[in-house]
Amino acid sequence: MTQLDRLSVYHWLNAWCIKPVGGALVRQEPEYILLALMGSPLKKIMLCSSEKEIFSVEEQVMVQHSVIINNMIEDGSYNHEESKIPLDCVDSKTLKKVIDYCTHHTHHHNDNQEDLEAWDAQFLNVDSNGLYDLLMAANYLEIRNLLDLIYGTIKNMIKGKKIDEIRRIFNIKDHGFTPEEEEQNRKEYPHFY
Amino acid sequence: MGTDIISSLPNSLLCHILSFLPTIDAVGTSFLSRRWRHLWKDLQAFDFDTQRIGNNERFVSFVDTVLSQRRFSDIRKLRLICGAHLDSGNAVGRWVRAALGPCLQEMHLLLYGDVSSNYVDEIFTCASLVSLTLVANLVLNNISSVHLPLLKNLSLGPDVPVDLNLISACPALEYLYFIFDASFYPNIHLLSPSLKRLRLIEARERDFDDPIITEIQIDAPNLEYLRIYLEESCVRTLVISDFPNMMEASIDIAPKAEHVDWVPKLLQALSKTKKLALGGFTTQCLVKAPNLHFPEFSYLCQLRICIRSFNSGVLIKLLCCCPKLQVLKIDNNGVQYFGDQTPRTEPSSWTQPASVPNCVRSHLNILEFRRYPDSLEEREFLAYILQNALVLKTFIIYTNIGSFEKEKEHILNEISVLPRGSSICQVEEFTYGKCFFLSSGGYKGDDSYCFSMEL
Repeated sequence: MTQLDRLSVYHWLNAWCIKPVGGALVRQEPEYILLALMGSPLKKIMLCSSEKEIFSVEEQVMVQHSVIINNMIEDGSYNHEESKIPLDCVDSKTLKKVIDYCTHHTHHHNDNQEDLEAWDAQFLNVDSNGLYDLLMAANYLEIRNLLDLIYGTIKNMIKGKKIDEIRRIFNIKDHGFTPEEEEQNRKEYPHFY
Repeated sequence: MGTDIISSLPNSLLCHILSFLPTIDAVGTSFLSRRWRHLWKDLQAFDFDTQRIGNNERFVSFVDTVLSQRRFSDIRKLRLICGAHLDSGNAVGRWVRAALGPCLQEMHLLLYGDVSSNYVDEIFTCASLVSLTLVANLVLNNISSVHLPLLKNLSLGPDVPVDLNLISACPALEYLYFIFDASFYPNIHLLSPSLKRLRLIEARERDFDDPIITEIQIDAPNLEYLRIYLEESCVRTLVISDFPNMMEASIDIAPKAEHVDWVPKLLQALSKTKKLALGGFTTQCLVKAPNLHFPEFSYLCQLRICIRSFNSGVLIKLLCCCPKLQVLKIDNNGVQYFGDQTPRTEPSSWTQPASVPNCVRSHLNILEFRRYPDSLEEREFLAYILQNALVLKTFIIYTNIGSFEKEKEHILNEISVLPRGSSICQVEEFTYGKCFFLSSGGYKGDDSYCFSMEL
């Protein structure tokens, strides 16, 4: 058997819709059991938060989701033995959530749409500070699907809602209009309020 | 939870979020605060729907005002849902022409009424378009030239007279949703190597009797998703390429004698699919075929089959050709019995199969039976499946909507005592009409080989 790179094996298995779960392969056909015997846990990388906390995560998980990390690994600037990827603009709490998101979506990629959506809704059940931090992190790491998810959530906070309600949701306390301007707006466009 | 984080996001990001909103909501954000006052004016994507505004006059004035106050003249995306003739002055043409340009990527027009203007020709030659929707009651001009080299997604109908060869010639076309009136399309020829998803839907707009389509030809070897819905027309011939990449297919055709000849050919072309849904009349055509022979559906995971008059023999034969089937949904679309009229004494043509179909024994996870009428043949079939389905996890039964409580209880009691080959199987019972079902019992996503179905 030729020396197969771990990543290539993963991509090959992916194409046949087999998910390695915790190192073991779930399938009945004998040819795949042979592959399971290839043993050692999947390659990990180290991510370092702004608070200097180190998170170890499967390389494939991050490479699948984050364009930035994928580019770093591909162009060889990341040395597996020694380095860690410093993410100075992402704090530990947010980084943990981002890793959580990427890991879930990699491992549960074949789930029902409804189940995935339910998990996503639960995942984004955070306060506005948390949402902002996630948005900044997803933007920095260029995680397309997480970004779209967050945009969708923010969009839903605005869609079809009255001004007062949106102000409450986003904590817009000082709208900056003069009292006359505010009154004028309310009078001329009552359906927005 | 106290600070206004959202307003500190950069303008470009906020504007990007606004572009996902209906334009009326995006414009409304100008009242949120000074910070938001002029943000919407940077929009290059617009979504106008009369439903949110109601009054035609106000709608026209709103759209005109918004378009005139925008900062960038280039429009990337325009979505417009309104009457084709809102008022005098050709408002729709005005707005469409404002959007047409080298930056326009998406145009979605849903117009109620007849469209006669020549802006339609300009739309079909807007070379930058990637997604196009044109749904109008009738487009009076024949669309004679099509130049859409980047077009990926196209939705047309129900009365858009276009030469399908021109559509097929779009080199990047991946998704085609074609709603048509068979009276205007005596032939449907679609040859597209790039096509991945096709929906072919018949919609009757005129009242001619029994429309006839001489030939439907679909040559799209990369097709992954196929939906055919033919309500009334009779299709004389079907010419179809093989679909080695098929993932999901749903076929609903009218019960015509001519269809019996080519339905088996269609199934053969779909033999690699992972999901299959057969409508009531489709199954009827299959059953009527003189030598009923199903292809081997080696990858089929999910089967939804509507049967107008229950035929256990055909079902078993089909199950024998689906070695990996995990989900089976049966819908008994036949005559409904309500109240006291019960068909329970009808003779059953159930015969015990020689051997248990492979999928039933080792793969069937979910069994669903809609409009279960509890006649003898259905019960024997069910009993056989339940006894031999060794890995069945969920069994859902929908009784008829008119069934009395007593009847439902009786059915549930009878079924509960049937011997089950699988120890973990749970039975759920619902009245037909509820549009959800519970999937119970440790059904882990990791073990699933099925893609999510989006019909």
